[in-house]
Amino acid sequence: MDLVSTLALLAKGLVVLLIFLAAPLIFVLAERKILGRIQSRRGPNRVGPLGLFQTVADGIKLGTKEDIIPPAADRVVFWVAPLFMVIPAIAAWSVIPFGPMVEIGRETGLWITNLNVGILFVLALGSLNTYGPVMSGWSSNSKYAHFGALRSGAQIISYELTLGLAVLAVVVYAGSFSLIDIVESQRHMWLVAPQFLGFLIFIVSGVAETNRAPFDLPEAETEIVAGYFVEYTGIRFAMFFIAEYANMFLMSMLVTVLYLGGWNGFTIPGLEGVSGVVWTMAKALTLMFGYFWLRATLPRLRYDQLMSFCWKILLPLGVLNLLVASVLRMVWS
Amino acid sequence: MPPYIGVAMMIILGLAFAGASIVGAGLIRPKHPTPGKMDAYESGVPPTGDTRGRHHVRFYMVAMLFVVFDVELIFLYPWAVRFAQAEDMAEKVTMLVAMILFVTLLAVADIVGWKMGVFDWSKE
Amino acid sequence: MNFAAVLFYAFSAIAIVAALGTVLARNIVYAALSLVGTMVMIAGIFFILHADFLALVQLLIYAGAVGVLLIFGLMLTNTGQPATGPKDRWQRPIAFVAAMAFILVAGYAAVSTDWMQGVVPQLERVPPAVLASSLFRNWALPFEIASLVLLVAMIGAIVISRRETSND
Repeated sequence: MDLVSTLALLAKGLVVLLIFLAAPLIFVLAERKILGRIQSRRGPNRVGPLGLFQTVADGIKLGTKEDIIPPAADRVVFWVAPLFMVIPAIAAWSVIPFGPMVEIGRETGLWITNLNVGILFVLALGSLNTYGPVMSGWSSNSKYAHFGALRSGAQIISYELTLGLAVLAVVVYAGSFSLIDIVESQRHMWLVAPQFLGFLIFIVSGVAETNRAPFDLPEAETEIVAGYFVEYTGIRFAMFFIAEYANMFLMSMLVTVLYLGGWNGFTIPGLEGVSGVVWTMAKALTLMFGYFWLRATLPRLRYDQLMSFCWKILLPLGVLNLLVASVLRMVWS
Repeated sequence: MPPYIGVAMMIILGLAFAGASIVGAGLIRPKHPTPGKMDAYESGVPPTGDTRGRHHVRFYMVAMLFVVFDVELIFLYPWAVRFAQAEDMAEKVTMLVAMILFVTLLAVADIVGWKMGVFDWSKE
Repeated sequence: MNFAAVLFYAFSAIAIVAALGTVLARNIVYAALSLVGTMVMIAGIFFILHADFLALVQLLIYAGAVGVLLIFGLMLTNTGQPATGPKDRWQRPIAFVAAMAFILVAGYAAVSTDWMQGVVPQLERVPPAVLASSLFRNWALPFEIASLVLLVAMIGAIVISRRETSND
């Protein structure tokens, strides 16, 4: 391993860290603006021009807030839980491709690492995402937090299965776990066309995995205030926020890579790198807009509806989708 | 360069960021604890009773089902890769039949859970 | 010492500390979380040994599914009190003898094994597709039976927990 490739790797890591940290700043603002517009309001417009610095101000405010650890809480677990939110969230970004192979002095891919089990790695980190909510909810020793933790745990593991079933059908088509190979295999046709049902299952499960409306029961503010992180304040509270928005963006990137052809799209010869990044980002940002749109449009599900929807409708559909995909693949190839 | 180095680097960067921001904020934030502030937040009412009571067994049953599904699903991933790469028709058919048998077990698990009311959270 | 060796010793050390935590922690939730930590570290070791798929199975099944199952189980029974001392004190001498016997056997095995010292292992990455042909073609029947056993175990667990609910 020579010095140049080490530095290149470090540079890529820092860029991804920057995206990870910028995601909540940009998307919280975008969400509030878009929600405002949908509800015929203006949204935040006081801090800076057009209110653009609202989330920066919010971030500074959170950083300087008093850090309260309730005496009834379990201090060790309470302290560690935010790390369990942030670390899986950031580790998953190491396998996400932002663009194709490019020539910058030497051949390099616009991703941190091409893990040959990439998609499984992301799913495994998704299942570790259960611990952040469960640990914070249990350690807070507060009733709202406790309910949030239980709800979140059962919800994340249930929808993890349907997510995995949808991914399985993608692998049947792509023949690889590597996210880069999966994008390459969609050069001629985006997988959303043969896998439209899988695409829908993945999106629904993805929204549920990230605890977003209409599946935001673990943090339903009208019934359990904020759910598992109700007792957190200041910078630790910010950690939960960062992890939530980074996970949403990660899920959008995953949909882009698995179903929408990743960096594939109209390109100018010589500018494949630039157009690849632009295409990936354009697709992922459109999906992020979908998240906000859903939140503004749909009311929250009841918990019994949430669970029975997953196990009685989505899971059988996922199995059916896998069977159909396998048979089609066998006949078609 | 082994691919896991990138993963290790991201984990270290994440830990560095989280540690630095928690410690850094500790230097500037105020600390004025009052009894009211330190209470668990239960919409302004003083907290009553113990939080860590017993919970409904359904959560456990869902986790149980999840373990079974997860174990069975993960073996289908290598299957999917092999199936996509299979060349001759005979091999494809054998693989497909093995997979259908396997998925039937999953379907049975789902139906058993369904009939036993594991997914009916509104009943009782 | 190369980077892989550094990672290996770091993961092993954390795994051992976490395993000790599992055994020694009085608070049962700490014990469960330490167990999860051990599992994650073992997955890391598998990664270094180029057993990528096994590492992810370890993460998904043990660190993910089984860990969550354990914690849900604890939350169901958790009364908030830390565990008191062992009630069956008369078992202590027997436990001591059993532990010593185990240490002797394990120690003998460790000393008498030819560890191939100085031999650099050639790690071979087995593609998941090869694993799949073994599981779904060569060993299809035992594999299906194993998953059937798993299914029966799950049904048993549901039946037991249901009976407990109706008794409440």
